[in-house]
This record gives sequence, structure tokens and C-alpha cells, in this order.
Amino acid sequence: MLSISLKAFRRRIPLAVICIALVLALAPVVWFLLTSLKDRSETFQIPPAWFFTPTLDHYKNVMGLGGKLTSLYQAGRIDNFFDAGINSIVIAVGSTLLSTFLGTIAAFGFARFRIKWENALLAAYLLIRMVPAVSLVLPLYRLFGFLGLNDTYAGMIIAESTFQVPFVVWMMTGFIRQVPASLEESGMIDGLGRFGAMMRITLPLISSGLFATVIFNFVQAWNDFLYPLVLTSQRTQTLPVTIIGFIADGNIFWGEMAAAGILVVLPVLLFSMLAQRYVLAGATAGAVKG
Amino acid sequence: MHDGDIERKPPWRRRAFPYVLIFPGLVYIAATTLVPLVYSFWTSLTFNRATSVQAPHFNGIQNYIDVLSDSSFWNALRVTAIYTGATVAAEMILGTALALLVVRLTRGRKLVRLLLIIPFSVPPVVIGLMYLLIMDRSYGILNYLLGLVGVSPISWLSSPDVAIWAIIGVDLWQWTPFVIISAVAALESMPGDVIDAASIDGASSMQMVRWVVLPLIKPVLLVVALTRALTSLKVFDVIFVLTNGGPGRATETLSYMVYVDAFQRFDFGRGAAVSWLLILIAMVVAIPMVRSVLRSDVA
Repeated sequence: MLSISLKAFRRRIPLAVICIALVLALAPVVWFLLTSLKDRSETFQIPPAWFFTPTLDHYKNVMGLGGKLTSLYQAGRIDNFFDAGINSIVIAVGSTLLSTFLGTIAAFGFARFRIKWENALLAAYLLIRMVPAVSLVLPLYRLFGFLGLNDTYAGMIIAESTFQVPFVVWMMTGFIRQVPASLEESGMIDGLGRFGAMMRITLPLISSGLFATVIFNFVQAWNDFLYPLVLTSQRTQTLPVTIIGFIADGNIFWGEMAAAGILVVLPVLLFSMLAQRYVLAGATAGAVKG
Repeated sequence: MHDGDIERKPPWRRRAFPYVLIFPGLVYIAATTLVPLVYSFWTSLTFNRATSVQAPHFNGIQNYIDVLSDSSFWNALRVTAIYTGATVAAEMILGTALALLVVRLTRGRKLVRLLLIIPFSVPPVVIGLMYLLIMDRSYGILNYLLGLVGVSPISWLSSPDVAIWAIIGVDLWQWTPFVIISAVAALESMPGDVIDAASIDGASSMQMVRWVVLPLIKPVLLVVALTRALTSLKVFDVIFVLTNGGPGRATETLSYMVYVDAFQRFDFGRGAAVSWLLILIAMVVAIPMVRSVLRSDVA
């Protein structure tokens, strides 16, 4: 009798542990979400208010639609959330497009042809991605200063793409290599040029890999904090930098901060879930197979 | 058996084509990465302080000498070493152990993977804000929950001894799921016949794990560990939001120190020197990883 119940118990342990791990993984985010919906007076109730009437006031305030924070916006203390959102979108989309274009055509070169020093170049690309971002932002800041690129869309797009291009090359080279070259060659027999064969035949076949690469680059640019912190100012400030503004002068607007945070997180979570099959490859710079 | 239209093109054009493909990307990377790095190295060899009346001038390795003889550098190195060492070790052990449990699930693995993406997909800034709320000494829910089991409130972020462990804890929350997912993928791609052979030979579960499974997934785990180490070296956002390198310099990593030197003290010469020392350290970790990746690709 005893041995049976022990066995049943032991079989359940892995599941229980996993459930605990999942709860721990999600709890902070859920708590953050709850905080964004709580009235200001309830935020710091001890014991915490588990049941409460949710309010959308903080979201309204953050987006400048409500009364309370408008004065802070006008005083220039907190930059406009919408503007920052547009900046984030422009920079993320711009850098992703640029890097995907440059990286993909380079990837075709590496994947389909024998290029001298191929391994050395690919290794160099990987190494560049491993340079700490701080080390690169310092000279970028000074050089952009000389070139007048600070606080411009062009400057930020260039800055974000520096890490993206090597990543695209690595990811896309792997994907292209999975498609046999013979398919392109048949296309060329039918009259397509080399380049046309690549675009019309191979590229559609790796569209899901391309999609995942695009998503990763977008998310990376969207989440980036250090580069916008240093390289932008009033005009092109992005969302991650703007939401720091809610910690103003030691008086933290917790509800608004949580609401802003949730708003910034939502697109990222959505995109990450879409590309989740490739999450591994993406996060290890395309280095891990399978 | 060759395509007629390629034969018609002059041979040099055909041979140049692949280089045309890689050229734009190459030039772009050289311009946006190598040029700034070289410039940064040059800056590290100059005296360049925006707050000083002296104009920038070349001073050789003086910056490096100053940095290496400054105790704050060694403190930052110590903090970085503790941070990277603790996070990578804990995450690899915890992540692999949990992965071994996850692979036993017959259903729901996809759901688990979907949920585990969340911690490392949230923008690090937001993670910082989340934990700023949770770890607040008086109002944070962490101290509240600990109070329920009789632990008195801890100053997670303002106590010099605790702060570094607080940010290590945040890192664990953020990245252990990544290790779990990686290890599960590695475990799922293990060849089944080796396992069968081992169990036919009478190996118990624990023995199988130790002598069969772990050696098989070691290559992948190595890459994951090195990736984590590299990312750890670069941590900035969370520290900026949670502690600003403090209290004092208790959580000032090398990365953060570069930021402070360059963008708060505007000592570009010194900041560049520290940043190059950081690059050197990163390369020590990166080069073995790149080599192992290339080897596995070629094989």
C-alpha cells in the first residue's frame, strides 16, 4: 500500500516542479499588469489588494489622454508617449529592413559560392556581434557628433543595424544552405538569371526563416535601451528610454510606469510568440543547430 | 551540361558575382563597426576629458595605467566576475535540471516552451521596472511574501551586501528559461539508440543521466554557457534601472563603468580604455565559442 502511494507521488513531482517554475516565470509580469490596473491608492496596500476594480486611468494618462500627467508632459519632463512610439517603430522597422537586405544578399553569396576567406569572414561577423555594446556606443557617439547624426533617425537606424547585419548573415546563410542549389540551377535553365533564380525560387522556400530573422531584429531594435539612451535626445527618443521618465524626481508614478511598461511589452511578446520555433537559434546568434 | 546564358557572360563577371553580393554588407560592417572601434582605440590613447581645460592630446598608455591602478576598476572587475560566474553557473545547473524534467512531459511541452519565452523577451528596461516595484523595501510584494513566513524586510536594492545578489536573482529569472529551452531542444535531438542500449545494459535513470545523456548534450550546453557568459558581460539596462551601479559601487560592472566614465564624467579617454579592456575580456570568452561553433558547422 505504502509503495503504491510513494510511486504515485514521485511521478507527480516533475510536473509539480515545472508548474512552480512556470508560475515563477509569469508571476512578476502578471503582478506588473495588475499594478497597471490598480488605482493609485491601492498600489501599495499592505496586504496587497488581490481583488479590486480595475481602472484604465493609468493607460490613459500614459497616452496623454487624461488629465493628471498632461502637465508633466507639457513641462517637458516626460516625453510624449506617442511620439516615442513612432520613433521606436521608425527605427526598428528601418534598421530591420536595411540589415535584412544587406545581410540576405551577403548570405546568398556565402551560401552558394566558394568565397575566399569564407570561414574567416563568417567568424569575424560572429565576433563583431560579441563586442560589448558599451564599447561600440562610445565611439559611435563621438563620430555621430562630428557627422551631425546624433538624435536623427538615420543615425539610430545605422546604430541599430550594426549588430543586426552579422546576425542576418549567419541566420540566412544557414537557411539558404538547407535549400539545394540544384533548384536554382533548374530555374536558370529555364531562363532566369542567377540573381532572379535566388529571389524567385530559393527565397520563397525559406520565407519562414526570413520571417523569424526579421522578427528577431525588430524585437532587438525595439527593446534596445543603451543606444537610444546615448544617441538620442528630444527628437528621436524611443519608448524604452521614455518610460524611465516616469521615475521623476524620486516620486514614482507606479501605475503609469506599469501601464507604459505593459504597452511596450505587448508587441514584443506577440512577435516572440510568432517566431517561437526559432527562438533558440535567434538568441544564440544563429549558432546552435536544431 | 551548363546553362547557355552563363557561358555567354564574360568569365570575370561570373567570378565577381559572389563578391558583389557580399560587398555591400562587408563595407557596411567595416564602416559601422571597425571604424568606430579603431577610433575608440585611438581615443583610449589620448587624454580626452570634456570637463578639463586641457585640450585632447595623445598620451600613450597613460589611460590604461591610470585605470589599472585604480581600485574602482578592480572593484568593477570583481563585481563582473561574481555576476557572470554566479549567473552562468546557477542558470546552467538549474536550467539543465529543469530541462531533464520537462522532457519527461508527454503533453504540453509546446505550451511550456511558449510560456518560458516570456522572461527573456520582455525588454530589459521593463524587467528593471518590474523588479523595482517587486523589490521595494517597504511596499514590494517580495518582502511581503517573505514576511508571511517570518522573514524581516530586506533592503534588496539599497544594501551593499544584498544588492548584487538581487540583480543576480533578476538575471536568473530572465535567463534560466532560455537555458531550459536550449537544453530541452538538445535533449530532444539525442539519438535514441544510445539511450536504448544503455537501458538494455541495465543502467538506472540517474546513471543514464550522468554517463550517457550529459556527455551527449555537452557541446550544446557549452555553446549556451558561453553565450550566457557573453551576454552577462554586457548587462546594462537592468543595473541602470535598479541600482545605478550602487549602492556606492556595489553593483558597478565593467559595462556600467564604461557608461559612467564616458557619459556621466565625460572622460572619453578613460572610458575608451576601460571599454577596450572589456572587449579583451569578451574576446577571451568569445573566441573559444566561435571556434567550437565553426567546428560543429563544418562537421
